[in-house]
Amino acid sequence: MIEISGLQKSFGSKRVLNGLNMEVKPGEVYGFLGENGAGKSTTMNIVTGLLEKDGGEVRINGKDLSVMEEHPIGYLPESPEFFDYMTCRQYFAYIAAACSYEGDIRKRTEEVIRLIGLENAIDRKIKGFSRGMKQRIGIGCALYSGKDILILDEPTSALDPQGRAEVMQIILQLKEMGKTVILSTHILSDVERVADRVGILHNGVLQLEGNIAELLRANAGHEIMLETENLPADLIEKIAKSPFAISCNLTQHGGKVEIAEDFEEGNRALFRILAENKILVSSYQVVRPTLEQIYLKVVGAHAAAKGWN
Amino acid sequence: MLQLKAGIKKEWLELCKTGRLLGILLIILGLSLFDPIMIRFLALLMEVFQDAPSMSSLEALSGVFGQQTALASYAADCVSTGMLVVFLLLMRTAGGEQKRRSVVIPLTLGFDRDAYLYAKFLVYPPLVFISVLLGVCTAYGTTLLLFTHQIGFVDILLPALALGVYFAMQVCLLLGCGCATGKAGIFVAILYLLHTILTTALGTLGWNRYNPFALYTFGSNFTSAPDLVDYSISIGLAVVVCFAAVLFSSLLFRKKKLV
Repeated sequence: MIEISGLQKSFGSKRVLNGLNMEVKPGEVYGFLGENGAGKSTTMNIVTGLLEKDGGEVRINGKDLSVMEEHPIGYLPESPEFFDYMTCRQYFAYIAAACSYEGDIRKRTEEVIRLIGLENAIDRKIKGFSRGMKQRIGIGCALYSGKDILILDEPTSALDPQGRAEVMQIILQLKEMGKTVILSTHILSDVERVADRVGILHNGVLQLEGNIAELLRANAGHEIMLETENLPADLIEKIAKSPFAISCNLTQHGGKVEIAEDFEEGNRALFRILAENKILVSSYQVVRPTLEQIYLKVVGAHAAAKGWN
Repeated sequence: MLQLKAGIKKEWLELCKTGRLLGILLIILGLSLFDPIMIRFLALLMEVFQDAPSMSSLEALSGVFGQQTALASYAADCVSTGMLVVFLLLMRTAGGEQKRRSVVIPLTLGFDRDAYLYAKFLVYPPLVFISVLLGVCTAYGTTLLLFTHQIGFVDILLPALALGVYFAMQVCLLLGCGCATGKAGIFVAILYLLHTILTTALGTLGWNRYNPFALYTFGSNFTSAPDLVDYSISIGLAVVVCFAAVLFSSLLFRKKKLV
């Protein structure tokens, strides 16, 4: 488990982390979100020991990180670079030395390479690898010593859809293996696909943290998508002026209605109007919000409160 | 120890797979063939001109283009062209790896910073030292084929040693500055500063003949009998500069932020 409390970091006069509190549970994939400059990379660099913190505490499995002799976290930095004149096998032998790996290096290298799906490229020079393959090597390095906590910084950035899918597949495998993964990315659909919980960082503090399923559920059900036949203009106007409708984007053939807080009541009222006017509804769907909408709501609300919008 | 071995293997792989080893050997050994041949060619030209009427004044000059000149010319080209090429070839390993961030993963995984750094110092300066010794020997062998024998093999050993140590010292400084700052280009500024400080300090003390940055003058001196004391002190000081480069770069690199 990673517990971060009151973490502070400034660069010159710019305060990047402003008392960050965060908790990552064992065996979960934690989506660490935030706009550019929010402090995600700074947090990860502190947790991986690349940066000194100004204040606060980072505890790993109950122990203070600053007094731990062996660093307990595997790290994949953003846009990782390698000694590209080496073959995949040679590079992992070097990584084995870096981790002071004491077991059978050949066997472990083959295991890791199998896990990241690069069996066919094991004796090829890294120089000719695609970005996706390089990201997979980076994940392999983070995994090599068998550490249970992995931090992956933008593992899918600048990858094509196939490369992204492959990396996501590896993260799902890591989850099955019981690894704890902190995943930082701007691709929110990826987070939604693999993460259990998310934390949204803004202005150096966590604005929202929670289970994705619960967050989606809590934000679900406020919009209805309808397909109709011959919806008259006066009826559209009536729906738009109804107290249950926050916004109404309907045409003759249907559209979207955003319902006020009491969704059940609003939903009933809308269908009552449609039924009274004998409007045939050919399809009906409660719009499920995406993580992106929740993210924009959190970051946007905060920005609006600050008077930025 | 395991990490130091892995580091040395990595540096060796880098040398071989990127063609740097070939580049270093080509320039240092290539010059050792090129310079004697060039001097022999000039000597031949002089002989041709001597036969022409009113060219007898060149007669004395043609005697200059002998074995000693060929070896001194090799030493001078080695110090100028050879060293420039060696520096260009080693820029990436001296600081480029940090700039490209390829060291971040191994170092965050626990690769010891000293092992990473020492591996470089254990590979490149000795390699350049041996290459220069070989270069002087090759140049000597070439001159034996092309010129009248004037210098014995024993006589080239001390200048070769001086030249080799001078090269190794410069490579140590390049590695030290590059690794400590992450920018091999800073080497030029630091070298200029060091050269100025050391030359001024030794000059003030009247010890300029011991200046390690002037070792190349010993290295190109194949004409007069060497002063063993001056040689030894200069080489000793150069070795001290090498160790100082290792020590300072190690101290700075340990504290260096990688992000």
